[in-house]
Amino acid sequence: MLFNSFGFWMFFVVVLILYQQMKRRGQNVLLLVASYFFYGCWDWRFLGLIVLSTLIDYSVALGIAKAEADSRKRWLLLISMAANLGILAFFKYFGFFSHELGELLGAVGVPSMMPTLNIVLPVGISFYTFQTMSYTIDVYRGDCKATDNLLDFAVYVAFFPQLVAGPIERASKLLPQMLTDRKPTAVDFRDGLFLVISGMFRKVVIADNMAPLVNTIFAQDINTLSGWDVMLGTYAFAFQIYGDFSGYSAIARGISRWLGFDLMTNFHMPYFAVSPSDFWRRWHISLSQWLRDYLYIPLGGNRYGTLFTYRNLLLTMLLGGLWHGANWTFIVWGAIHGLLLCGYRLLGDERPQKENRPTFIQRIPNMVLMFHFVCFAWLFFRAESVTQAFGLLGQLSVWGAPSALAQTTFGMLVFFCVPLLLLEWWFDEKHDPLWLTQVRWELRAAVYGYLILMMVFFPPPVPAEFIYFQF
Amino acid sequence: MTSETNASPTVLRNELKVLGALVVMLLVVEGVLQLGESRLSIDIQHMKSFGQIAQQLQSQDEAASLAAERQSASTVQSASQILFLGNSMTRYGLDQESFVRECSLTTGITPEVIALHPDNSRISEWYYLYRNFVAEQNRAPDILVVGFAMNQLCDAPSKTPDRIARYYGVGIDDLDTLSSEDLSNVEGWSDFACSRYSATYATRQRVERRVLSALIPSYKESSNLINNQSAPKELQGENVELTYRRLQDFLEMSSEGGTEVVLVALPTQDGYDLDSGLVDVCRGKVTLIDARIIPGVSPDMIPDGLHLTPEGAARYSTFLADWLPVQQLMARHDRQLLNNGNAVRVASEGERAAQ
Repeated sequence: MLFNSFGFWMFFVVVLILYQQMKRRGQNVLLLVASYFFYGCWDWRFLGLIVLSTLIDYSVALGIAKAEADSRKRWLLLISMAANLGILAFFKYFGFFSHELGELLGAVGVPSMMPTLNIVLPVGISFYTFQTMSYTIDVYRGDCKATDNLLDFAVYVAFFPQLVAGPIERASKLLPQMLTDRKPTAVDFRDGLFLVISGMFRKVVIADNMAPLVNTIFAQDINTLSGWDVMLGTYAFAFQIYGDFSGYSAIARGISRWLGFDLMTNFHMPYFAVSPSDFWRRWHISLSQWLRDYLYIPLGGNRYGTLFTYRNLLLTMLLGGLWHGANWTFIVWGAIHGLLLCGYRLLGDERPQKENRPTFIQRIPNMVLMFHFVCFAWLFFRAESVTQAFGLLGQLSVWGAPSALAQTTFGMLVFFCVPLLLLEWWFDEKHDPLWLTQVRWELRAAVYGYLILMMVFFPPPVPAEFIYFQF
Repeated sequence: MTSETNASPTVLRNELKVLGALVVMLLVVEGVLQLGESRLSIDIQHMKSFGQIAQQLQSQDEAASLAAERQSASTVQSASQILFLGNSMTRYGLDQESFVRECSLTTGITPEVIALHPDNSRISEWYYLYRNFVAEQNRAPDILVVGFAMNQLCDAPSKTPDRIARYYGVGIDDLDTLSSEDLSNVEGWSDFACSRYSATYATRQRVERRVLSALIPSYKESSNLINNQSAPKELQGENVELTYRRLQDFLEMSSEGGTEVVLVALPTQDGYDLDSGLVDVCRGKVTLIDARIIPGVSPDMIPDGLHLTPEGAARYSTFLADWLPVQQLMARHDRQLLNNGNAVRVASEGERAAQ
């Protein structure tokens, strides 16, 4: 059930109507049933994995809370880590590593005895696994209380708006909302409406209209492409993935607001970033914060000198890349971002003070530079293989008259993406991503009118799944 | 947030105004499109006039009486009606004047030509079009010429259920076929329902194409490339065994009225293979004319790869008139109609005798 499908909205209307009639406990039961149904629509066979993950972390967290000895707490935490990462590793990485090991052994003349399994990747496994792990770690650290209510915890793990593609919520923020009464207000309705409409626009109009262009360019024989094709195809992918993922997150936040929940902001106009660290404060914020709090800082963060800081940055980003999928392209993507973070740090990248913040115009050169670094990394992220990515990079030395496809891609970028950027520039100037909810209703209606008419009249040739479901 | 929460009634009132404004906007757009739908394209105009065009077709009774007339006069020269069914390839490819003139010269028959050729259609659309505007209305052309190319006759769900919903006159009788062939899930049915009742929804892709063609450089050329890239495998004919269940249903339905069916493989710039499965389906049932290569039609007469120039259309139409065995088809058609009529009459007499 995609957020941009009729099926989902029929489902959601039924849930919302029933939800309004119930008290908190009934609402949580409904949310759990609805969430399992929602997930079951993808693939009911993997519901067991969510239940298993829920039971393990629920029990382990209670065990940690009750344990007095630190060693026992540590053991319990290790059990949770091993179980969660074991499930993730098996479903997501087993095929990749067994294949790579087989190749390596083959290269040195040793026949590989590694079994090859055709494992189906459960939708959203990386998201809910990281979410449950964060709960257990927070309980271990004492940042969050263990809950003894299995129902509430199960809803926290499986909450359908963010189950398959995040945001990866922290227990300390979401779990208390499961435990208290919720009564959505008019403000929730207003903000939710903005988030849903803007999210749908980004998904349906931006991402899905960029997708066929990107797919066509990346499917061409490399030698037939020019620098124009590669460059514009990569720009188109940058907007495709942004529209796709930020659109999903915005819709997830919007429908959660209508249910009385407040999910974290996952994207904050990332292509206005002026440096890699700024980018990661704006892009997939829930993952970058997770990696910072549960990987970068435990590795030592920036506490043990420059070299260790660089090592930690690189390791964090490499694992961040691997989180996206078992493919060398993601690893290279992570490495590029790691190197960018190190490089900017070396050059003295610092977060500007609020009062010294340069104006938008002053930031443009750095934004353009950063956007191109990000696009360089996206090229690897999107390519089928590292070889293809290097082949495409090589074509950047071939410039001639732009092909028909390049001209169309340019036109589509201007037609679809420039209005989005203008809207975001307006919000950025006002320092409020929900600025539109603060303006006069007539202006808001006019902007919504534009967004809705674009959705109605510029449907994608083929509705596409959300890219991040596969991660 | 607290002050905002206190101002809840105002916030709610404003949001209701926003929603109200959006509803009004959508209603205005819908009204404009309801009124001006036909102006969006020649194709929509054509689809909206399916009923009117089909009314020009003779009824089955008329066909039978004309057949009897021809039989008694021992000639096929009077009033033969040919319906051309196809898509934009037929729209561009059929030069009616050249076809009728050549037909007249070679066979002595001056047929009445009627054409239905909605863009971007294939057997999945032609099935509903013929069923609802011809067969169900008890109309029956003498000869039906279906122009196709590549795999346009093989089984595949319709790519344009929105247009089927709005223009193809579908009703309750079609629900079975729709659910088994074209609309397999909630999304398909929802799209279908929206298109049926909303001109905005049904014409949105047409509006999209018009706007993007006008604003985006090389849009048409790139669209062809993208469409070829993303076409389903069965339509590309790539290592997929093609089936022709819907074509068989179509042939059965169209021959019920005594109509003689002719399939014509149209010329394209790159050429294509005729699937052996299709040839098997046609064998003994319908006439198949291979017009993939036509003397005098050069690739530059098919500039976009699919559609003929006027010059190419004249040559194709002349070629078709030369190769279409009108006299034999009409003779067979008349024989079949008269035999059917006899069968009915005998049965009636039998019934009377039994009484």
